[in-house]
Amino acid sequence: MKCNTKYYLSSCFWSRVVLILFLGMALMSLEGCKSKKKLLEEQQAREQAEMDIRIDKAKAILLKLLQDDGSMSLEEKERQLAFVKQQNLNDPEINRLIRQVEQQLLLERSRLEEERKRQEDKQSQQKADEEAEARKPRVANSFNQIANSSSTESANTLINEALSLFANEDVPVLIIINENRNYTDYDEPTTIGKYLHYLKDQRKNANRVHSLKVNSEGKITKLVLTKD
Amino acid sequence: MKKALIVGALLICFCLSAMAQNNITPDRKAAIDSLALEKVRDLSQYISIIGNKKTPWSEASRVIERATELFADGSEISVSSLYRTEILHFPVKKYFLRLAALNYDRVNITWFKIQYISDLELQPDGRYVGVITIYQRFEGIMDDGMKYMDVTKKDITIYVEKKSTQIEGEVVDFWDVMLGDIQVKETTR
Repeated sequence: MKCNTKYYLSSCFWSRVVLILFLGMALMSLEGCKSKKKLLEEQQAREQAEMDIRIDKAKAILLKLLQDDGSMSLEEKERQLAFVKQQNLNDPEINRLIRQVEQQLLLERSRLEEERKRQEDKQSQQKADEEAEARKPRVANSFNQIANSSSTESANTLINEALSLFANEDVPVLIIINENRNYTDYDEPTTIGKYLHYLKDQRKNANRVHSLKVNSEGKITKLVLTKD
Repeated sequence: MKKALIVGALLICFCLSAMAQNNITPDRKAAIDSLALEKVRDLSQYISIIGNKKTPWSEASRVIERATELFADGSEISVSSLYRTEILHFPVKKYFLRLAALNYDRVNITWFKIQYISDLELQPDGRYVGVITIYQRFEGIMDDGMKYMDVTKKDITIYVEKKSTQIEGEVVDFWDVMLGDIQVKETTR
């Protein structure tokens, strides 16, 4: 009996200890949950703040791109736009600005392309004009040689040589007989083949080279002469 | 009455406008005159080549084509001789072919005193028509020394018409000069 009483008392003691421990642990767990939630909230707040900063920064970039003060190259603008886009900010205003910038850069790219093409055309035209100009004395010289050749045979040889300067025998030849600001009068158009024989037959070279056009192979495709 | 006046005024405006369109400046006219004279001089040289016995047939044949192209379709060339009173008329190409086949060993033909006797005048059909006179010295010589020579005054009718064509997409206005009939006016030694 004595023994049972002792056992009972001992058991009560330990039950209380366990209960206290359990309560303590529960209390600690509750405290832990509370601080975890708080941490999460703090983290979320921090992330939101970071996101706000990124959005503000992106917005500033996009607005600067839209204002286009001319300080950036198109490539730099495209690089900055790509930087904003790769952040996937998923903000409605940012998305709207991105679309605007994309449209603006597309127009700018197309304007630059046009300008580049215009420059290329201008350069190629300039080159063609220079080539044409360089051929003028040679053409004039061959015309003189044909007109002053000593025989039909030598004239025919010179005609064949002269023809090698032209794209073909049917290259048009225009002869200006009179011009002023308002009009240009021509003789009946002929072809280079006929004109070279004309020089041989008439034994005179009364027209001088006014202008000519050359193709990409450097052959003359159009000749304009004018009366001396 | 009022209506008649308005119609009359409109008619005058229309006529004046049409005249203004056809009217050309003196320097423009001078250029056309000069172009027509040049075509006649070109023909003179072609005739000299065709008649020359030293000209190879391949060349003569090509030159005949070029010379024929100077004439309006249906044009004729008159031919005279000191030995006959009759004047013969040949279609242009036939004349050139006869000229190339003349029965002489040497032939010299030269044209001189090439000038307008009737200025180019605008016709109702829009063409300019004029007459150029030339003198032709013909000399035919045989190897045996026999020689025929005459000087013939000839009148050439000239037609000039403004035309347009397209070259490489560009409209080109040009003056088309066509020679018409060549008539013998007188033949002397």
